[in-house]
Amino acid sequence: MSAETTRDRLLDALVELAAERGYDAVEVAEIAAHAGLAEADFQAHFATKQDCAVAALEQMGNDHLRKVRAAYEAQPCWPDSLRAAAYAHADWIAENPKKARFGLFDALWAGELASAIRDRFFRENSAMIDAGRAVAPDPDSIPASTAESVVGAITGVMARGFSRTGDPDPHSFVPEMMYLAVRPYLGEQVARRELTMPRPTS
Amino acid sequence: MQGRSYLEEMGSGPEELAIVPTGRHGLAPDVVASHQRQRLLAATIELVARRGYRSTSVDHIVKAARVGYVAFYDLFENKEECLLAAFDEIVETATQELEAAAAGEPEWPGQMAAALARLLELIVAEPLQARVALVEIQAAGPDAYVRYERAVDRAVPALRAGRALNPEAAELSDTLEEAVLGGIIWVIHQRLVKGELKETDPLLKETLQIALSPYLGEAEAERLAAATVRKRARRK
Repeated sequence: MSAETTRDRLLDALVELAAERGYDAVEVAEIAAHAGLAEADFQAHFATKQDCAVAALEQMGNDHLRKVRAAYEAQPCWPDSLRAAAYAHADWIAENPKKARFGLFDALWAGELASAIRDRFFRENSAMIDAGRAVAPDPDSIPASTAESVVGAITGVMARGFSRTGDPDPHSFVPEMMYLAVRPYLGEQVARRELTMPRPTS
Repeated sequence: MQGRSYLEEMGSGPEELAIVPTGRHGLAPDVVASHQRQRLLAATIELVARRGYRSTSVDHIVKAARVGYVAFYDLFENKEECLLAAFDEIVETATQELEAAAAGEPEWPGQMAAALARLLELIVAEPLQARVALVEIQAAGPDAYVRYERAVDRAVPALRAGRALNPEAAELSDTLEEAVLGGIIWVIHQRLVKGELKETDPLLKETLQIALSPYLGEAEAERLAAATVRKRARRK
């Protein structure tokens, strides 16, 4: 087995076990066993469970970002581009519910570095939101931290969805996410249209 | 550590030890317990803010508070419960401060400005408490996270009152206030984590505009936010 596969299996095992019983309750020996490997294999790749969590976050964060950015860049106009990104984001969560939960919650409980990586990946989305400035009628009046606050608002909406219903349909968040992101740039009326807009077909 | 430590500020310094003597004394048990509880909460805030929740143990807390293990476990089930008690206390005090600040203003936009300004002042003045209530609480596991969310939600009704000023309020999304508050707290949280929150006014202007704009529109929100910050600068 290649080192790459061993490593990936350990990352997946951590994410799956954390989804079952929470990050804190997972032990290194169990991660190895769940991956069908020996504890020595774990130690060959990671010094600690926290290291493994950091690697899992890097991997899922990069995968998520690549897909969301590709969807964003395929559309020429804002907010169509942002809407495509939002649906790609929802698709990713629907395909990777355990990773999504890990990135949203468990990352907070896996030490300072893991939390910092979580924050960094959330911030990476700011530029796609702040591109709204280029089409805003009065960009100078929009506060500099607008995109950042939209990221925080969306994160909060999703965290609440997950902690309240346990297993929400991520696509159901998209209209509200879009409303929150579009409103500061293009105003209430344009933003409200997002609430009833169906998913693009392409 | 510079100057007096937070523990000393909270009256847990050595001079305080004389007030509640150990061994045989005439103090009622509940007086001793409540004093010990305060010392434990103060020690928890100081240690968790400086070391991080994960790196703080019950051992650290009882030693810093100069309270015995038995007393700790009489008062709290575990470290998390102690942190939650400290968190609740910080939130309670801050809520009272924010409500008092808002009560001095006749109109809703002024109330929001006063409350938000007070929040930022508290964060700058009490960085250890702020670190515990905004950052470390989120690192303390699922129950603590829910408690944090609920604390943020306490401000929803006050913000929601702004709907009275918006003729189209009925069409605003139901969860708008939760989202706007989540966004503002996130911005403050990020500044705090990066050590960039040293003064209140630049962030006050930004966050106040974000809070007011769903109800008053972007232009009016910007005007009021700028006026608020100008007024504060004149007062200094």
